[in-house]
Amino acid sequence: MPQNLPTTLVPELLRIVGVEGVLAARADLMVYECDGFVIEKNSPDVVVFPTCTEQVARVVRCCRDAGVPFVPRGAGTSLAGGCLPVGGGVMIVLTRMKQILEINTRDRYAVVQPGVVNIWLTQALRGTGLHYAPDPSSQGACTIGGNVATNSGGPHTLKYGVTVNHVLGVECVLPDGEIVCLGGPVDESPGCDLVGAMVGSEGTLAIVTKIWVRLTKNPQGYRTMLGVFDSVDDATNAISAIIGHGIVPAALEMLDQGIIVALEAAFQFGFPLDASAVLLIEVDGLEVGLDAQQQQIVELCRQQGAREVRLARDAAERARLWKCRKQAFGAIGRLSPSYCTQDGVVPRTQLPHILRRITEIGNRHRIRIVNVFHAGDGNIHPILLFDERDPEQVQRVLQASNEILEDCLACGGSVTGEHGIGVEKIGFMRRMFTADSLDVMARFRSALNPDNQLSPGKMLPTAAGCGLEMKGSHRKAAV
Amino acid sequence: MGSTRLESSFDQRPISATLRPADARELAGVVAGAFGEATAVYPMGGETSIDFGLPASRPGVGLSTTGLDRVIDYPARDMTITVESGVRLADLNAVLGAERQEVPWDVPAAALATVGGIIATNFNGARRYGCGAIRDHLIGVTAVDGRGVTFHGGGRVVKNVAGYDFCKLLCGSLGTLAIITQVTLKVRPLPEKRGWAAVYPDSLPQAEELLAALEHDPITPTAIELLGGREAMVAPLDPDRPLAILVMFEGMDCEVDWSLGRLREMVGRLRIRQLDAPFTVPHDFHERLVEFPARGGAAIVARGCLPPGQLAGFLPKVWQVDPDCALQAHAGNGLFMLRMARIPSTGLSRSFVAFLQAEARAHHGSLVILSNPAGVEVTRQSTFGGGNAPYHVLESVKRQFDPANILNPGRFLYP
Repeated sequence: MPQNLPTTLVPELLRIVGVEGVLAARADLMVYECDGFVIEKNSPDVVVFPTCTEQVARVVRCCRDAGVPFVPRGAGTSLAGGCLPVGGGVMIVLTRMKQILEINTRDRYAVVQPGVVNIWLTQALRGTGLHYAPDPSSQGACTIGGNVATNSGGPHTLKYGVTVNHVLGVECVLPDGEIVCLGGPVDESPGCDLVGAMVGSEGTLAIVTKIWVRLTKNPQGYRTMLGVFDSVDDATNAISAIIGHGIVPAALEMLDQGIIVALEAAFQFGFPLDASAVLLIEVDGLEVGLDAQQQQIVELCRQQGAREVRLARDAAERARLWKCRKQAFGAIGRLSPSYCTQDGVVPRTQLPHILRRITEIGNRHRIRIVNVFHAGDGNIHPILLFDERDPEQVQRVLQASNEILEDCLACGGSVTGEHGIGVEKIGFMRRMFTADSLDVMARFRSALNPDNQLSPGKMLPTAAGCGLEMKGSHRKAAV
Repeated sequence: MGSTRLESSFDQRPISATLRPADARELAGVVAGAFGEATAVYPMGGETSIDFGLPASRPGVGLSTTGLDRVIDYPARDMTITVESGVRLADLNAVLGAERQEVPWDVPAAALATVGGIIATNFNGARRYGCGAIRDHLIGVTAVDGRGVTFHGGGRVVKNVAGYDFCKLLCGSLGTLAIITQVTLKVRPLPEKRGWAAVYPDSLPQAEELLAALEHDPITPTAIELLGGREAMVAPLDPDRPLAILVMFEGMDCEVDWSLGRLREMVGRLRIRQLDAPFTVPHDFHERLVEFPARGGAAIVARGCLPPGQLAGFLPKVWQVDPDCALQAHAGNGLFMLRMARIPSTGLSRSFVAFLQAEARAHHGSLVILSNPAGVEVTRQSTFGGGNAPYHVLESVKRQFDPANILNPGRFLYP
């Protein structure tokens, strides 16, 4: 029995979700003490697995009455500690709400429960000529509810937009247990856009229990290219040239040598091991225009010093290329026992600068950094390699991460493009926003979550602090 | 062409003076002062949609954003632009046009309409279908809340998830939560070519057949418009046809030409009778189409949204209430604008609220009266009653942004 909870709480939760829907043993809870951000950990006191909206609402009311904090969680693939149970309490895991409730091909929407894994929806749409556009690299595991919480992106968001551009409505449970619907299977509702504000709120306003998502037509054709460069500068200049030329590819990703080597070891795709960087570029749309666009991109890459531009020969090769890209993080295990991924954004024209700075910062802190990122959006993902068993290395990783993100801000960018603030980047909020802006954000949160009982300690800073920090010693960090 | 703004009761509003601050700081000072004195403030942009919503509830001052008309930063190669909210849409697109870029917003009276006003009214036009809604182009916002506090959300980069997305929240908020002072927008390259095609279905079921076929074809229009009623048939459309579907393509020359050919085949397959009407339409038609909602003469202008496939089933109800009603629907999105020729003889509450609004809700949609024309008794239900967000949630948000209820009091859903 958890020590920190009122004695009546767990029996009450058992009544709501049944014995199969509650975990309270210490060993069972360890799985839920962090997400993909492993530097900070804290165990919930109890985990519940509701299977319907009404159960979520009853669990929430139960927590509210007991004065216990509660936090929602999807698959736990987030990378900034967004579902870390700060202060313990009840974790509401939504992975058993995993039904696709409706697919409407005429009106191009689907209704899903929050625990539906991102790729399941696109798989369910096979043969309809439609797909669900947001495609985070973790789409084989992450849930659409989690995508809504963090406003997830992915490689193809360059052309198609991030999660918020594809969410039409949500049903959610407010922190007082009320079930409300915002939006629905329509493009617009009268009044201010609460649906848009709910997306990316990192579970601090309400718990989303049903989602209406927009479906996107499959393009008639694709052209997928691999531009091979002998210098990172040339590759980043090619990105600027393509975008500056008025071409909006469906995806424009960059992989540097470090990651190419790891990917090649893992997948034997035939990546050029001696290249300093490769660009994975895809254009899609009407067949009639694709060859001309491809030719233009090849020409621009060559002008910027590409030594070769390879073309994916067929759908199978395209699929393999994307598999390599999306599983890049998995291949990093070959390079290092631990890694920390950052998520900065810079204006696209600042990419050459920021990549030079990343190399310099890595050298100075003796931390190896490899890069695989959404170059077309200016959304960098430097991956800092280290051994989490060495506390001194952890400190250097944090310091180097701080400096990279500081530099993104100095370029007029952001510290997060798609992973969220979570707990990891709370300290940066004071750098990105004025005290007045943070105050207005806190006021907005209190309109829906007045007691801050839902997801406390997330997104908005409560005390002084700056940058990435290791939290108090009461929590076991990944060292 | 009619007037450049909707029928307005603005002049009846109790405004003692209209202030025009020269910059955002001065504007924040005015609001802070008004907050201290609990004076009502009525934000104004280009005044093209000034009568949206309910009438004002108490005396106050008008606050014009038109003095905030500077371009702050335009890094064209990053395809973003930061401007003050009082910049007029036509001026914005003139600046962008010099770099062969644009913001694809189809808004009436673009020479007057301000960027801030367009966002506050969430006025989405024809190209929303292929280019996205207002909210999809807005990546950063600075605004002043009802206490005179300046805050911002988002930033200047195209991807950013730090903090709450105030860009979205302020879309459609009608100046009741905050006054927008500056925005950063994603822009897009101008297409090489544009082309419109006009198709004349004989009936709504036949129109729906084509609309559904467009959704299941690889064809990628940027706009799909459904027009109905004689008044909606802007030149050069045939005014004697009951309905018209207008389809717009943008892209490379070869893409537009291929798409027009494909559409022509589709129309033939569906046996839609074109008679001798020309298939392609000159591009200046686009401007006349965009001005449709702002033309004078309508007794009531209403806006609604339905799942697109429900439009054909819903529209006969509209013509049952007013056979002369003119319709412009962004049919690909299910958004529509109705210009009713007369106030229904059975009264608004029976014909509009109890019948049409209820029908729209039954189809998962909404229908609201957009403007408050003189002589029409609009109510909270007829003006905002189509949404599903609970009133107490919206009110709670309003209280946090505007605790003294000085921003546009009475005009929105909140009392």
